[in-house]
Amino acid sequence: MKNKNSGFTLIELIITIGCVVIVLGGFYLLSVYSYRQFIKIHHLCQMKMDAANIKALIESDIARGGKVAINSDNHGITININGKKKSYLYKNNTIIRTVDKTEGILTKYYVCDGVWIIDNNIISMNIEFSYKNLNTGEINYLKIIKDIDPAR
Amino acid sequence: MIKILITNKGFTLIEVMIFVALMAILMFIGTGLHSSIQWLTRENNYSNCIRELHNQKKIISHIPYDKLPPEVLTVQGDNEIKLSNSNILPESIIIMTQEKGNIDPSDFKVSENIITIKDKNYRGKKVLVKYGFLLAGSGEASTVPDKEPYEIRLLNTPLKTLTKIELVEGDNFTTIPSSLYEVKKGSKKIRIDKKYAGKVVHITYTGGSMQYICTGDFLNDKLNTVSEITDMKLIKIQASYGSRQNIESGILRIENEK
Repeated sequence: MKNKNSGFTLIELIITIGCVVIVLGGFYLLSVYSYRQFIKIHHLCQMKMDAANIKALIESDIARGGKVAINSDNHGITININGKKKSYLYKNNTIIRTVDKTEGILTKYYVCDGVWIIDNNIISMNIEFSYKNLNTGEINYLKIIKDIDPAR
Repeated sequence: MIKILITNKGFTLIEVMIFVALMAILMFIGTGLHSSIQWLTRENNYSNCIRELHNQKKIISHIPYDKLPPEVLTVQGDNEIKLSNSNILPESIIIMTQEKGNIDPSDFKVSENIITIKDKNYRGKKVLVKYGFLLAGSGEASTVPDKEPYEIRLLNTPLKTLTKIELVEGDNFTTIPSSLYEVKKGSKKIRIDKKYAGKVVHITYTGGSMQYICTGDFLNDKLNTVSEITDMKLIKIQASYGSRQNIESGILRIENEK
């Protein structure tokens, strides 16, 4: 009588396990990578949103008749609306808004530079964020320039 | 031995299909993620281009009519024509003459904003020069770090041409001499002398990731482009930002407007 029942050979098992490890490893690496990319995109969008919000706040102050003055160190801008002063400053690695000595932080992420200049009669706001790239471990930078027309 | 060879089988269709499907899923997710980051970078460049187009139109509106392309210029004694703008794109230059039509591109040389015509017969004659040039970005400023390295990062990289670096103190701009900064073509940073540590500088330059090309044409009364001299010019600014499609904007200039 011939015994036809036979199990997997060692080679077959090793190959199967190898393939499973490669496929699952690929899925694992991809899921980690995709999570980190998602976090990165989320951070970048938030930084852009913060810059857009600061621009909108400054423009709304100007629209209410505010007179703009750039600070002498170019790290801030002061808007005078009928004697009431509102300041936007780069301070302690954030952008803050000061109204009557009350400070409000306008950025959620680490700001490494905040500069306001008047170039060709337009106020250019330069905000540079820095963040850690989770995939490479390096520090990356995102510079956002927003223009504000003082004659608005 | 023959029996063993016969019983060896390859993968079944189902096995191959499952493997291909798994690989396709992995590749699809990977490619999708990569393109989403690229999209975000392009979107950032796009919004910068829109901002820059708006600024450049303002800047161009203050440039005298005669100094915008196309220019009517006289060939100097040394066979040279000096264009009013810098960062000229040599391949965009078309020189037109009244008597002999267009001058062949092989008959003139371009060095920065100076064109040298080989034929000496053009001396003293007026020519019409159509050309395009790169516009330098506006509004970019950075704080020079307090400690080593005294380097500032650029937004539009790699650096192509640097026009100037200015020290900004409130509303005052002072040009920094080129001996006080170190710049390499194609780099992403500029090293500045340590005496400017902690100070704000304004950089005017052209870069590779976003390019703004300015060209111009004469217009007739029906607003059609013509190759003769008129008192109306259509100045076009084309912004390219790493996408397949460029953004274009124009400004109409009339000669006697002041």
